[in-house]
Amino acid sequence: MRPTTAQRETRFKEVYAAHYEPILRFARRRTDPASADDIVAETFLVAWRRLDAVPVAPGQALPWLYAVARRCLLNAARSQHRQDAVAVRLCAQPAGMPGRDPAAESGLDEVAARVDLAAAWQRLGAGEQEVLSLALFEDLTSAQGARVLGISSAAYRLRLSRARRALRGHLLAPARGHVTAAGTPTAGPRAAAAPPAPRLESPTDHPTLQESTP
Amino acid sequence: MNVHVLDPARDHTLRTLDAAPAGEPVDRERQAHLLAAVMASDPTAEWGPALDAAAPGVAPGSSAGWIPPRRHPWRRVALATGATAALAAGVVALPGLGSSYAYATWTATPTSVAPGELARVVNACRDQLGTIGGAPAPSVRASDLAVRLAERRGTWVAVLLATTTPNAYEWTASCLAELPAGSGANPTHVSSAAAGGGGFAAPTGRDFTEGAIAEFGKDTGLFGSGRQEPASVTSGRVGSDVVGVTIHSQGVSVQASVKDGTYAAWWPGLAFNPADAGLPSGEGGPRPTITYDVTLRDGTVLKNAAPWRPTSPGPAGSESQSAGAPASTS
Repeated sequence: MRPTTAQRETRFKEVYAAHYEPILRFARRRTDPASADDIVAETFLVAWRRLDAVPVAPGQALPWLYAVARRCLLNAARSQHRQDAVAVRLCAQPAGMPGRDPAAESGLDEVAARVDLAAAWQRLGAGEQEVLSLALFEDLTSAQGARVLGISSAAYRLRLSRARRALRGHLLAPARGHVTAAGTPTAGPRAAAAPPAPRLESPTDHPTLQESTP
Repeated sequence: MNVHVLDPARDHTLRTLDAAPAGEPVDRERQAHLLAAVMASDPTAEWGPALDAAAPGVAPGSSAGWIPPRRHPWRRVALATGATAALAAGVVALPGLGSSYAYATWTATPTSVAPGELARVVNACRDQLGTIGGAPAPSVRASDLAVRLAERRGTWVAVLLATTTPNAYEWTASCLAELPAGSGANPTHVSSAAAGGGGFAAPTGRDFTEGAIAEFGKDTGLFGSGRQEPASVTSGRVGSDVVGVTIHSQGVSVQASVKDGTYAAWWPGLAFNPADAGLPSGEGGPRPTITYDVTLRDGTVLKNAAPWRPTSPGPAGSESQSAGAPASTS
């Protein structure tokens, strides 16, 4: 039986209330604030139009919405150059310490660790950043992350494994004067405290992965 | 955390670098506006393939999943009646959304446009307009429209194109495009509106006309929530004693460009009473909220000056056409 208009509206309000913030954060990690608002609007417009397709099982709607937002991001960037992954940027100031001196807060070692991690992150390809973010920032399971990327769980785990290896590799062998595929020169690891600009990279930035379902 | 990326300590450090951590303040007003806007939209309406393609279930790489996105922006071509006609373009926008992202560089006072940049904006404008008008109004090719005024406000360039057909039917087209000064790129976010009417006699002395007025919005219907917020544009004619026109609308004041008997201006925001949204454009349509201050050659400023409304037809008569509405006679 088709839901009534009132039931439909109630359902959408629940979906919206539960997921507005995570979708906004997802978008803000991947684009500038103004574009992020556009992406959020598009995402929920799709959900409104396809409400019957939004999964009702617990924990399933969010990956579905992330997948929509990701496609909106890819579509929005396509006029610049084709890509199949969305880069994820890091923040300028570590979370949880607004207006406070990170050095005084947690010691120089911690600051150095952040700088190294930020530099290593910046050297990752968009596809690597994307899968690491889904695990780390979006805090998704492999099954959920796989749904966002539209690949099998096995392919997702493989991609995640390679991205983790790439991040470790960049931490062990920091670059000097590295130039990203987007053409943005980046300095050595200690000079990378500033956040990487949101960058959209070509698919050649990350290794080709097996996407077949086992 | 479902899986460690590196190890617990470095994962914790990485999370402190999250560009959008949980717990950051959320603009609840914006959230509520978007909810209202989405739910006010018709879920069965045609919104274009790009949004549909965004829904899961379409494989990446398939042609359906890679429909060109909402990049051909908000073309607005509307036709208005006569020299005093108001012209509205059906803006989809919500007050309070979008704040000032799009037009953060806008300035109330215009500056000049470099010739090379002007040429690129004019080309983009003409490309977008194509041919305007049509039966029973005369049609013209946008390539036949000449530049009457151009101005820069921040990163945005506005041009006013105009032509008068052999039967004295005058067309004007306003275009707005983003092109930062010194940029060698092509303009983006191009939008346009055209108005036509009978060739009324030009105002004289300290008179000025209320000409075409248009609100621009996005035609993708995404509620102006991002960079494409509503903007308004107006233009008209001034008598020889008028050297300046300042326009006020809904809290925004803008100094118009004035040159060779013509004025034009655009500003972020609305030009019509929001209560009239949805009314057909043209005479009897949405009510403008614009007021004018006029500066005369001797320095006198006429506050809240009333525009001159021509009543005598020009040489070819005053029959004019409004898009989607019956022809009317002024």
